[in-house]
Amino acid sequence: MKSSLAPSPTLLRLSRCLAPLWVGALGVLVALCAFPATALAVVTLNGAPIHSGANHPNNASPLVISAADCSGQTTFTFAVTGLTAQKTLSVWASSQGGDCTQSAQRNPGSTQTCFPIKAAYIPALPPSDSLILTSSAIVGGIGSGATTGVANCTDSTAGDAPRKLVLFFLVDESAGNVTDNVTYDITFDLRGPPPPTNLAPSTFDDTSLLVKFCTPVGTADVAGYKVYCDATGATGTVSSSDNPSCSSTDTTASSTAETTSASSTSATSGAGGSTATSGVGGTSSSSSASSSASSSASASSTASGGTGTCASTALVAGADPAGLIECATLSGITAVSGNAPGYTVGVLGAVAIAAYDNVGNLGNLSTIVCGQPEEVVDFFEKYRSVGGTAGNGCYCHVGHDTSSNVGLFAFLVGALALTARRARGAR
Amino acid sequence: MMRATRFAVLGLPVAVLRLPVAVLGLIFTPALAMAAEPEAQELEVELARPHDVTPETGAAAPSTAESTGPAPKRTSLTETRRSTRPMTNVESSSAFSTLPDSSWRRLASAGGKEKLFDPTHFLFEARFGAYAPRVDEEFGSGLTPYAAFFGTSPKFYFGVELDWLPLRIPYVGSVGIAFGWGRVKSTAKAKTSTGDAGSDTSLLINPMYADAVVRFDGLLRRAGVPFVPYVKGGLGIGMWQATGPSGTSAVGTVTGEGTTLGLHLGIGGALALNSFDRRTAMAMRHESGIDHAYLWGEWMLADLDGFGAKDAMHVGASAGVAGLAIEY
Repeated sequence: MKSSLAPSPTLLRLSRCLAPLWVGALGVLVALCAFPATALAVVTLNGAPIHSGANHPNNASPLVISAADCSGQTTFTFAVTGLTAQKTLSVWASSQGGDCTQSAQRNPGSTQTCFPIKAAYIPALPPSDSLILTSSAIVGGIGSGATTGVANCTDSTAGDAPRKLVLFFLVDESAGNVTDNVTYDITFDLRGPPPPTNLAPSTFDDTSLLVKFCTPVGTADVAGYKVYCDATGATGTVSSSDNPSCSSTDTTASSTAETTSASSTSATSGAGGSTATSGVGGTSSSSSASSSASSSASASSTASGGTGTCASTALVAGADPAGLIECATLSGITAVSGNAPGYTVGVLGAVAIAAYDNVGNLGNLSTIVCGQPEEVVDFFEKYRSVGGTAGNGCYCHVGHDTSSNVGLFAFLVGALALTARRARGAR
Repeated sequence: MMRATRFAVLGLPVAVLRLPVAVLGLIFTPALAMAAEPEAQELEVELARPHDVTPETGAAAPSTAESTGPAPKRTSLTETRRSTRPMTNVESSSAFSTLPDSSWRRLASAGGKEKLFDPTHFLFEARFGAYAPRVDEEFGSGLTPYAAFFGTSPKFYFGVELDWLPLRIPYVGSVGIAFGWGRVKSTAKAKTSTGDAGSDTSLLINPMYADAVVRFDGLLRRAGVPFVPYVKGGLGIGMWQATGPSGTSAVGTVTGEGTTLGLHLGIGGALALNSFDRRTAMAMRHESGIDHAYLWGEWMLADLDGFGAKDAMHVGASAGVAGLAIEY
């Protein structure tokens, strides 16, 4: 017997159909209670920036600003949404861990750690806008102080490690009242690694020098080396070709070499009348040298490279190698020698090496060393010179790697015979 | 104490000798390596008694093998199949201690007569040795261009050899032909007037040969003596190539490569490893058809001097060679 209080089947079916709607409505209610109806600004990086310069792939370290990015005006595009009218957006940067939402840290004074990149910006509303910031504006926004700052894309602080800054996107209701903020971490690395030390050139073959060197100590920010050659414009004496003695004290040796190079270059630049001020990378002293070298391509530099002295019309010790064309590239921080091609037997040539880091920043040139290829004799030349008459015969090749092919052939023959044997056994 | 000493004196060398057989067994008998232990033991017993039982009744079947060998322990195949109990080491070893050699069983199945011609009888060798090319013997009066670059110490030699042994001389051994290929590379720094250059120079030699070979394996097959002496001799060919900093060396228009003919001779002995691990050897034979695995040593003379020709680089050597071989 059916109870009169029981709901009708039609009502039951209807309530089942509407159940998802009830659940959805409940969710909306909970969301409204949990989050007040305040319009939030949303700032998102609108795609990775397209980087400038060599050796900085776009898919590697996309949020790292290199020296080439800075000088090449690589841009970061941010999409800004969620702002309502009568609100402004300002962008600040701090590289010292500052909290830019605090007005005390934004105002000029002893407590200032934040510097404006874009102040009182009023986005086009509604509904969204794109905010484009150049790399130079971002890194220049941290100020130009001697201990923290960046000026003209030159980082004047000590060391060569990448640095971090935080971008603050502040939403102002009215002056001084920050109602919302979004932060973004950016890394910038404007300095190349220090150069290798203790270069020792020797004969590789009739047209190449083998240059051994000590890797820069005290930095992990080395991705490889570029070798710069001056095959005809060197003067001086052949530098020592002894194997370089590398140790943990090479940091000191490297610094000494840079100081020496900077000093000698300064003297040369004085003679050359260099007044350029722009340059990338290096410490403050070597940066000065780099500027001098860039504008004084014909200047010569003399540096001590072990035994002997060496001068080159194309290479300047401690200078920025920008504008020079490398004659060889060595990949990897573990490289300790490389070939410098293009030399001639009996002709004195100069060579220098600069290191580069993971985002393509090129460091300054090492000391300049001179080498002179000697005539190289291989076994067969020696064999013929003492009266051997063999040669010009047949050495049959099977593909490129003869040994592996013959071994493979023998293996296949063996396998074939084994298969035949097994087949016979099966019968 | 005595037991430990005995193990050190006898057990360790035997264990070392068993290793290659075990490795070859793992390579060629993956099914055995993966099978459960009881099943493997059943297979072994089954293998051990192919001619001694009738499948259905377990009764003894006439076997020509029994007429010449000691009476083996009879085992019912039916009983063996029913039993899943793992065999003890004693049982296992006693089962194998009465195993007739498969070659012997083959002879038996062939009516007791050894086959004189077997076109599918092969032997494959992996060869390793120390090879000092005799390049400098071409010159007199103390001229040593090879030693000046590469020194006088022998270089590492690697090679392979495939023997085809279709003929069998009863009670003596197998006769056939052998084809060998090897590789020796000497590498050193090129020279300048003041010392070594940074670049390399090398002499690559591929010693090859085609020999007639006689393997005296009659004692192994007839009496189970696990030692096979052998000799081989024939034509040797040494292909060589000299390289310098820029690839193949050249002096004027003469390139640094050629081929030198000569005689090749080899005398050696092979130790049959099957007797050191009969279980694996039996399984290997059943699964892959490999009859024997050998550890061998050989004195090899590659007298590659172009038979006295003047324009031939002497790339031969007198060398000690050793390695592993499989016969199938």
